[in-house]
Amino acid sequence: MYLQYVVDAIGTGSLYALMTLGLALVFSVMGLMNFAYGQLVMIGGFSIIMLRQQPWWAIILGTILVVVIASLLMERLAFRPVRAATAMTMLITSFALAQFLQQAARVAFGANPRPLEQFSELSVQYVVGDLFISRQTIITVVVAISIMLALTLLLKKTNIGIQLRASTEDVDMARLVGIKSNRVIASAFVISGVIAAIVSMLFFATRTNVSWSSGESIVLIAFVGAVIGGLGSMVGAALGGFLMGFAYTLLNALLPLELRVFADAFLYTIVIVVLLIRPSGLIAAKGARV
Amino acid sequence: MKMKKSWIGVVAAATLLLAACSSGDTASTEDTAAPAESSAEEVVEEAVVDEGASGGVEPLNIHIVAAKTGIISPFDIQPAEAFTMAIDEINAAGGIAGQQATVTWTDTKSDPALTTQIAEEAVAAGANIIVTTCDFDFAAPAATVAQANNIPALSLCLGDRKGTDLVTIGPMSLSPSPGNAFKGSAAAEFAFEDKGWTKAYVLQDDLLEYTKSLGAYFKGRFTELGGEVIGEDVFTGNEQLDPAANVTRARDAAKDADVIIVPSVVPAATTMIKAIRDAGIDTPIMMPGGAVDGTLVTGAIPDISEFYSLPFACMPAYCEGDPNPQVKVFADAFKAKTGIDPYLSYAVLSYELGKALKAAVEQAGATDGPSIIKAFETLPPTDYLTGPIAWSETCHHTTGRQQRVVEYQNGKGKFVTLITPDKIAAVDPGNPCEAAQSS
Amino acid sequence: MSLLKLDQISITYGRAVAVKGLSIHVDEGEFVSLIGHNGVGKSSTVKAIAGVVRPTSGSIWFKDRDITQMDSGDILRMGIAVVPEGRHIFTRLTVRENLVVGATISRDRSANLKNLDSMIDRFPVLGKYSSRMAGLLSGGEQQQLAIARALMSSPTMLLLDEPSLGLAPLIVQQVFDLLKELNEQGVSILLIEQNAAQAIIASDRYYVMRTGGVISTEARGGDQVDVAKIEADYLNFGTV
Repeated sequence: MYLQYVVDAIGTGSLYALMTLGLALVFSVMGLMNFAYGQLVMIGGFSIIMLRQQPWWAIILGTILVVVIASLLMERLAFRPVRAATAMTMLITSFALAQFLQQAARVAFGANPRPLEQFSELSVQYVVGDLFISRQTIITVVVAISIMLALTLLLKKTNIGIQLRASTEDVDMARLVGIKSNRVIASAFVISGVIAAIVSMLFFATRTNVSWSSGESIVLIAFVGAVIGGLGSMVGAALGGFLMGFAYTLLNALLPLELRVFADAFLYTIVIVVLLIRPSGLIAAKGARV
Repeated sequence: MKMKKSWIGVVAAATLLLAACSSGDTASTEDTAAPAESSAEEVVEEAVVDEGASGGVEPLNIHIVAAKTGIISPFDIQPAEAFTMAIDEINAAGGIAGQQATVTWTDTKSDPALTTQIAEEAVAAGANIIVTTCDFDFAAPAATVAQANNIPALSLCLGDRKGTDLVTIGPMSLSPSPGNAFKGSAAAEFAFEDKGWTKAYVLQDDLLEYTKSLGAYFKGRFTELGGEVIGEDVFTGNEQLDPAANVTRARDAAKDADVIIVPSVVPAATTMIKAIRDAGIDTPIMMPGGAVDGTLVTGAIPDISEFYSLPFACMPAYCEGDPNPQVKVFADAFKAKTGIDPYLSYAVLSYELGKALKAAVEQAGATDGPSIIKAFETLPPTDYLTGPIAWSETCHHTTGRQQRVVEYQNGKGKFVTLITPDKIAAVDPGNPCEAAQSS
Repeated sequence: MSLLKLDQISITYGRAVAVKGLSIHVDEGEFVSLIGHNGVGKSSTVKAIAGVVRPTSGSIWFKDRDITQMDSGDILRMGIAVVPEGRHIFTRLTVRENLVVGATISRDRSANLKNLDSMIDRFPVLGKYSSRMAGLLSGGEQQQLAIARALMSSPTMLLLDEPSLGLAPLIVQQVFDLLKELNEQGVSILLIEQNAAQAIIASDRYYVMRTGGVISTEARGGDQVDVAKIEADYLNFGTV
């Protein structure tokens, strides 16, 4: 049974790792903690509802398209005008944008959670010895690992990837070698949007509803994951997110009944302890700006 | 604004409804001629204010202090609309004691601090009825303000006994809901007596007082009857809920259970139920209340089977066979007014509340708070829509309510039975309804 | 005629005046030094030329075009590559990636590769460590990398800000030798330095800046200069 909990925890951890990556990428490129990132996932959720009756590939492509466009619009309309401003201004802009998108979604889709018809294809269970592994878990883990590999390849092997990493480390110098920050930042938002879209598909496939407030908890998880992983480091972000999900599931599994409802409190206590011991996160990025 | 926009629809719906429905709200204006229990002082005051008006009653100035937005809004919006619909129908038929009532609904945004402020503004604006939200934590700020001003605080559908126990807030609070003690106990009696289930696994959502008390009363009554709770687990039904660990635990622990009890609310409840079914656990699941019900369930899990809930009515949009034909009339009128089918059964409670308010004010022949509350307590059991209900001096929840049991098979809801519990679980010594509701 | 010309530029940050009415020029193929103490506005001058800060008045001309309001990227495309103070290599990129990033403005892949090979020929240590994280290089190696990265854009002119800072004397000598060599190969150089003596020896011409950013003198450099005298003059000017 303990092994089963570990399987559960790996599934959740993988999903959280992806969530965190999408947020951390934009942060590391432009020093922006984009609290509207959760709303991208929410937008993804609603586009799944809209596309629910289409074939699966259309759902996937359509959702990615919608979220990437939303992410690019976010960058162009909200963040580019304040890019030269202080980090605090950008942070407040992202809060305001998150609020705006929530309210817009509430007006567009109503105050109630919108039921999302489940994907029964994903709930197939495989039995391995004593272990139950759902297709959903397998897909989540495989997709999370693939995205991380793809992101690594992209960052290491392509020009835009190298430029992204250069901008991540030293945005002023990047400009001096002729890297166009508009282009690099826009591509960071594209990648962040793709990840948010994939997160929305993996996340809502286990849910039964999408609501205008669905993005809030996601951005919180991603934010804390990015902070404990070490701001500005991609590996750290993935690790931080994974550990958040892993620890959360294990706490839920192993705490005695009376304490189980305080799993959140335990989780955030652990987070605080981690940050007291390693204030700059598990894997601190050199030259990271907060 | 909203009211104006849908005014034509309301009139049409009201006409339709009145044509079809003649029970419950036939009280005529003549009844109000004799103000039964008003003090002389109040009569004098009314005479000053309302000189020349048809009855001895001031026009009711009703303020709904409930959420249009925020976490609690899904439970407030339709009940508030149904309440407004009831008042609109009453106005169209001549008003309350011949006076047109006004309804003002201000959004609390599910924010307790803002709720207090809005309630105070309502009092300042001359409200003589304050209608509060469906959840204790969110209704209490407004109810407290109402109590301090001796104004009735009528909840749209609050089920927690703290909201109506005459002590926590005070005697001015009242709800059309039978309360969680009633629902939890009814669910236990249905499970044990009707279904013959003797072993229950309780998967408790600790998000709200509502969910916790439902679970507690179910367990209390179930064990009183001789049933056994063979295992318990808990989760917090917020949006970051991860059901994996609960499901893994249930796989073993709920293996021998006849039923899994999930006292929760949507959206967490459907996520949990889906996860349980996905894990291949086919044991019947029961929600000992009405909050996990309707299209919120069937829309999310289109093939849901072996699921039971205890709503207040079996709404035709998702459930077949309510024994009371008036329910369908109500649902049609509601759809005509708002454009949406009732997605839960809570709307019937506040509709009944509106109808009962008319009866109470007309019986009291006065619009001061204590007189209205006194009248509510002494109204005879009356069928306003779903079956006879009444309030009493000790119990400000409704007694006698016929709770529906709905069974979902292959994504379709079906009425099973009416249930009014024989006895309320003796779980909470401070529950004043325990004696009143036990038969 | 001048390749680069600064005409009466002033730079202010809020109320603080960093540079006031500075006019200098660099001719084609020339190696010019701009020397002065810390805080006299040398770095602000570099930033203005590179398009990082905008002068509050005056104009900057390069190849007869007014570049005062141009973006850094466009100025680089015009042919001015910058080796900034503190080198600013990308420590978390490999040596090779640093060089690749240096060629960002050129889309000609094969030319870039050829350029990369020639850099590795010129700086063998960069070839040796090409797949190592640049942050692991020594200070002198990092300085070579910073210069090589600037050269990857095939610039007409190199603009260097304090390349000797924090390096051992022997390494400093190597850096100056390298700059002379580059200059002989046709790259014009504007070198900003505190290390006056060596800068003056290396350059064709030098300017001295003092507090307030006013040019106090212009003199010929070259092999025949009396370093001691210049140092004395320089210090003298510096302490006024």
